Amino acid sequence: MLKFIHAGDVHLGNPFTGLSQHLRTDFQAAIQKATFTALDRLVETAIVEKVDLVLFPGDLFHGSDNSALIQERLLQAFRKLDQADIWVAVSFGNHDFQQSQLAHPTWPDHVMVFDAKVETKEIMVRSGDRVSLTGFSYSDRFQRQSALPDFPVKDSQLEDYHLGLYHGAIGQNGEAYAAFNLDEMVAKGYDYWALGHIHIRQVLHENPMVAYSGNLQGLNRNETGPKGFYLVSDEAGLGLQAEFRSVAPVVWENLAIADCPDLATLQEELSARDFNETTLLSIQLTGTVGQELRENDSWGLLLEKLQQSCPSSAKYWPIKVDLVKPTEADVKPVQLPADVALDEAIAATVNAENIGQLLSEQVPIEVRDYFYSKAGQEDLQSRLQRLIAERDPNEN
Amino acid sequence: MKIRTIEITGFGRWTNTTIDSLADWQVFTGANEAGKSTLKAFILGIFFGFSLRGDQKYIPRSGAQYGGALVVETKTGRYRISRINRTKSTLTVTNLDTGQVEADAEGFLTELFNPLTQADYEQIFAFNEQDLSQVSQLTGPDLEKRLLTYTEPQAQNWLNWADQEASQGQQLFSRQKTGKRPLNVANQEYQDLLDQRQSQADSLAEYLENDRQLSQIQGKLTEKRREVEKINQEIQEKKALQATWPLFEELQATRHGVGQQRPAANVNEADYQRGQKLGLDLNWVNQQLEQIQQQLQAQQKRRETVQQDDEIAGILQAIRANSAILAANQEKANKLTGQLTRFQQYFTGPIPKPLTRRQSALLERTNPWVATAIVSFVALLGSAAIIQSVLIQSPLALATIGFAFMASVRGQKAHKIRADYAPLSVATILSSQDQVQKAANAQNELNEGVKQQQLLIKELVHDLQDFDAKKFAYLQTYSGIEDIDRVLVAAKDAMASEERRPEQAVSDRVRLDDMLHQQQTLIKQKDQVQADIQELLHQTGLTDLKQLAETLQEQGGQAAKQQRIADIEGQLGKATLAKLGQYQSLAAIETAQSQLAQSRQQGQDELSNLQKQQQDLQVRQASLVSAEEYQALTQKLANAESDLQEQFAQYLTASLLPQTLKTAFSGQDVELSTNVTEQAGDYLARLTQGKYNRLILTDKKVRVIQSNGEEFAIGELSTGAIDQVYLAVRFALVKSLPLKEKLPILIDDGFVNFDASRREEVLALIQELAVDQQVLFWTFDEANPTGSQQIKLGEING
Repeated sequence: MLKFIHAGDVHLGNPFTGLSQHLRTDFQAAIQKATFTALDRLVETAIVEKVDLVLFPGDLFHGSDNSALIQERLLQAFRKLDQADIWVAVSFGNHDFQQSQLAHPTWPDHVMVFDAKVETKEIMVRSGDRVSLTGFSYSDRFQRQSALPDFPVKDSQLEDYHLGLYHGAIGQNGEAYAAFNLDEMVAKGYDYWALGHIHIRQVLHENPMVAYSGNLQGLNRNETGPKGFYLVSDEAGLGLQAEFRSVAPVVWENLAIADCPDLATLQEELSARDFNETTLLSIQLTGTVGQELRENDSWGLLLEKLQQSCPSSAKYWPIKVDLVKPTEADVKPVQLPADVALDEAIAATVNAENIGQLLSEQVPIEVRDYFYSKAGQEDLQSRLQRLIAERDPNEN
Repeated sequence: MKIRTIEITGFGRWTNTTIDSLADWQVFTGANEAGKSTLKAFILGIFFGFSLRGDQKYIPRSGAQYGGALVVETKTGRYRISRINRTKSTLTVTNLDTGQVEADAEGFLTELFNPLTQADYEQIFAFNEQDLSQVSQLTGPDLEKRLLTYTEPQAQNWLNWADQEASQGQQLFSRQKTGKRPLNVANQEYQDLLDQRQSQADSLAEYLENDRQLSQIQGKLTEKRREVEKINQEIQEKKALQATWPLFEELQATRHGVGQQRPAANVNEADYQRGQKLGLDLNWVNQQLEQIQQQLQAQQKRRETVQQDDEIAGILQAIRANSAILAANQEKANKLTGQLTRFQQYFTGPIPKPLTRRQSALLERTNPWVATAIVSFVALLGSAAIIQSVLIQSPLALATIGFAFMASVRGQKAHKIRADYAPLSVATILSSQDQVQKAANAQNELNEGVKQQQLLIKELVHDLQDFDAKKFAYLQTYSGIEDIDRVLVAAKDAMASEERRPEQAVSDRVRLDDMLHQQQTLIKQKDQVQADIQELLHQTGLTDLKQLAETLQEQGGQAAKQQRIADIEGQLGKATLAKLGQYQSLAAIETAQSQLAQSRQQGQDELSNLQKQQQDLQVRQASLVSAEEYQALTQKLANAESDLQEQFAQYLTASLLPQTLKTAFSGQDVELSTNVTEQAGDYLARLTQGKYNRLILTDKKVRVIQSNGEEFAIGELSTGAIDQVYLAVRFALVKSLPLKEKLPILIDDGFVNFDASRREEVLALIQELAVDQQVLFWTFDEANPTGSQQIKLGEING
């Protein structure tokens, strides 16, 4: 019998990104400690459920840039688990690869840390079963070589369970994040593969289970819905089965509201909804959108007004409001000559060189990097498109 | 717009010069240095401002005020545009129809030329030979851009809008480090946050160091607690040892008793009984001997007392004898004293001493020296009266004085005697000499008696004190004759106390003999008993009878003692016994316990100290991990980054907009064949007299089509042909640009390199253009072009 927790991509202490500085105070507080709260909940579950071990397959930390608080909270979590006689297995991923070289407090004896080389650790759990764990830590931001070939095949004579910890993604050798082949992974004969790196919870293979638990706490508005970890057990006698446990104290949600006539109605609709956890809300207004909303949107005031009218007791906080145009035709600027290739012009203009000429070294590197990135340039492209589309022809 | 008047107060060679009534097709002629280029520069300066550096050469030589004015006709009326002073120039625009001065003079001009900038205007409307020659240096895309910028009205509209957006975008951010625009400020704030967070992040090192120290202290604490616990156990053990010490002592004593037993001794009950009896016998004999001894001692004492009595009798005898003598002596003395007292009554003074014969003679005979002296004196007188001789008279005088002196001395001695015997007469004195002699004897006898009495008293006092020192101690100080009575009384007292019993001595002697005999007998008995005892002791191996009983008792209690030892050993246990065995005494355990207590106290102090250190570190640790600071800053930074990202996206979007639109419109190859290219093609055909009749832009390159259909790139053309292409495009642009005003064309010796026929064509073309808009043309060639008005600059006094 074996019971354990699989929690990939904890990103402990990582701030939420994409939020404005104009955030309600209580949300600010909840957000600041969200990853810690999620970890505490994990530890609590581990103790209540009397699991044998907890697996952290990479990106337990967000990066090298961590603090005394982060170290302390993690240490406390490890100590609690240690006191409850629960093993902890940690491998570092592409975000926290430097942690293996950085100093940290002395972790309890029950904490096993994987080296850069693939290695197998053997423990005996409460039931007396022998459990082998194989994993590795990143030694650089990118791991272009698959680590899978170095993982040994399970030896059923010597071990009752064999678990794999792997931080990476399916792909071809040479890709950035220790790309692996699923069939090869399954062929190792392991009882469970605890994957990390992908923040979206997903099961790649059943029996044996190969799964991403997703991240413990959503950190931006692309990471929506409940977040948490897998509680894995073979108590049901069907092999190791994973059950998702939601622990994220703050949830990012997308919400589409159709045919909203005005701000008051929008506020009513939001207030009528039930939010279990503190929720950061991205709202899409679809269908026919009332004039008041459209006007406020065009003046750039819609979100601000929605936030101002948000009741102080509300468990949600609107972070984005978009008016979704019903058809592509609406996006096309009608004023432009039909043969003007706007998309091509935008694509040709939005490039690192042009952007670089407009920025200076004073601009924070994070911001510059964003605009040099594909995501940032796509953002600029869509903004240009929207700006041109929404030009008032009578303006000039 | 047409320029009708040029008013120059001071500009280059021109001073206080007015050139008015300018025509639509106006030619200025003049030789070199006539001021042709200066006039063109003046016009551009009035429109767009004097260039500080470029127009320096136009500072008036006359010293007149720099600047001047232009009077122009526009669609909205006539205006006078005045610009005075080179630096800090003052621009004034006055509506000549209304007389009103424009509030925003610069705005008026911008609007007049909108959307053209100075550069645009100069490139398209104002050119000279040099400009044309530079055309060859332009690349296809450059030319294309220049052309495109102004070819299409719709595109222009979009570009204007894009420029405005970009301009607004530029207000958000400056690439200058010192920029103060909103995004520059936000960048700085972000950097400040980063710095703050960095300083917070530095606490990580301290946290880790604290953690290391905490671990060390934790280890020490555990070890120290163990030590103190061990000491506690030892103290408890010592207490237990203390409690069992009396038992241990008993055990030791019992063991000792058993160990001390003499194994050689063999005593039985009979021995014991015999020993008892012998002991009793010995005691009895000793008691008897003791009694006899006491009696003998008493007897001896009594005998010593008798001896003392004999001595006292002697003393008393002496006392008795001496006191009798003393009493008789006393009586005699009293008698003599009475006699002397009575005899003394005959004299006024004390009894005088008996006279010597000489003294008696003195009293009995007259003084012979008186008669002798008288005789001598008379002789003297006689001699003196007879003979006055010194030799005679002096010895006589001396003899008289000597005889007189001798008479006086004898008289004084007699007188002294009489005085001692006063009141007796000389006869009585002489007759009483026997009594006086008796009295003197009596006095001597009395004196002797007194001396004897003193000796007797001294002896008596000594004897009396010998007799009873205590009783007669008071006599110690008595020695004088005056104490005689008291001493006699004491002697009587001593004598009265003495009595004698001479018969007691005999009986005492008999009794003493008996006792001595009895003593001898007892000594023999004792020797026998002791011999028996020695034999018994020898038999039993003991040293005295007392041990007999003890040994017998010990033999009787041995089993009980062994049992007791076993009991105590069982009760204490081997381990405890071993530990107890390490100590000499209870005090040693107490000392050890006291030392342990000290060690424990020391350990507890160290524990407290370590706990204090641990608490301090924990407090510091807690402050280092306070969630509010670092985590808040981290989130704040993320939020600030998010906001910056959003604002920079706006800035970049706006800034990229013009280029985006230019690119978008530049893609319209087909559009380029319209208007300008067609117009330019027409003009080119005219200028090249049909050699090149079309101009197109393909693949962003300018192509020129010859009449036979052959295409040429710009670079393939001759310099002259390039000039013509450029001129054709310029004129086409001038013609096509959708401007509010048709702006004047300024040409400064533009066609000097043209041959005569081409020059003619150009001028003909210009004449056509001048129908719609003013052309100001400066040339040294005084051949007046058709339809133009000519002003000869050399004739104007500037």
